[in-house]
Amino acid sequence: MAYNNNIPQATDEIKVSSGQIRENFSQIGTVFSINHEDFNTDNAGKHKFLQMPAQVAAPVTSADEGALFTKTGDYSHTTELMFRRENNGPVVQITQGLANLTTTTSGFAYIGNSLIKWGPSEEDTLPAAGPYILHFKIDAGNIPAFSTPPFVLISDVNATSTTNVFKWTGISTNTTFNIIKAATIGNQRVPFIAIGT
Amino acid sequence: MAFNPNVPKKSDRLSVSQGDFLENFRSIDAFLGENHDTFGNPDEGKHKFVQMTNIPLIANFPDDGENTSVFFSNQKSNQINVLFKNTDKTWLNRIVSGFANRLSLDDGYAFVGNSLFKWGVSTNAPTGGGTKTVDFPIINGIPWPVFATNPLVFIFSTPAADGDMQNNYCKWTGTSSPTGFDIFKNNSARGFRIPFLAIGTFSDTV
Repeated sequence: MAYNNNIPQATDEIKVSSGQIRENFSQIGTVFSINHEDFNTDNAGKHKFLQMPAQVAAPVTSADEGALFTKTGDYSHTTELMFRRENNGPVVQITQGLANLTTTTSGFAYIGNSLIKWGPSEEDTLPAAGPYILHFKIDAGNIPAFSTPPFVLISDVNATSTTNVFKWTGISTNTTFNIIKAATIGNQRVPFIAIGT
Repeated sequence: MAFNPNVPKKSDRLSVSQGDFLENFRSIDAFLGENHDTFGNPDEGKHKFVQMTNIPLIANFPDDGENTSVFFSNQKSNQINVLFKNTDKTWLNRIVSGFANRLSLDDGYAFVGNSLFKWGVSTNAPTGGGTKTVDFPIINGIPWPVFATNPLVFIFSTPAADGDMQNNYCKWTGTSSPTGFDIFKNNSARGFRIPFLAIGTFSDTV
């Protein structure tokens, strides 16, 4: 049997409809107990947790209304928690899984409406002093690209010297950042944090 | 009185079962009124907010399909977290986490995406020059997550008290562990705790 919103009929006697009504109450009890504290408990109606089937598209939102939902992430390729702003506004991705990243030392996340990426530079050979253009981690399909040149913080890492200084020049693109290196020793990848959109 | 799905009886007259009906309808209205806009409201059925009772273990979740993820709260070791588990249960995001009782404003952590960010100043203050190993801070009595893998580290030199920045310059060597990191430090007698930001992964134990 199943929930039936078309009972009782005007002509029904209670001996006919009583079973249908009990079934409806039973269905209500069963459905409401999913994700919620059950009837006849102190917290009846409150949530134990939320299970959210992934949506194909973001839900419609009216003015003064936001929507929390799940949907497959473009880069993690698994379900992510998302928030849509009012009036069918932009969707902000809240969670970020790294299921398909090829390294544990590189990563990215969405913070507010910004994208933050970190990791070592793609280039690991910096043979001489001078300017270099280095790339953020390239992992097409698994790491998003910036849509505007980001702000960059780098670490001038070195194991044996404090004179081998790296500095960000203040110049970046959606895929690269520029550095100045002050000495000729110490080939290595340059750790970075980049924040952009 | 309470919600009773086993009414009315087949032999009940309406005068007998009316009270049961009224109680069930009242219970349904009260149930839906918790956290939701209830019947008769223009937004009926939508959520006003979500109150979640504590779930102690992920193992307690009903697993009813690959297409459903879980958003839940968990109280553990003096803190309350809001967490999100994806559909295939391969990773966990912590939406809200942190200290209930911070002892130091210098040290902190946050879960960003699927990663753990920690910042603060090292526990030890190495003196002299050369390679030194320093430890991430450990705060007794406070849950302080430990990296599951060697993190990426950014460090910052602090000006010397005497204004001699050059003699107190240091760099990360590129070596780290779940509990600390190595620095190369200029020769200097002055010891100072090393400000750092570290980014790594976290092994969930919820």
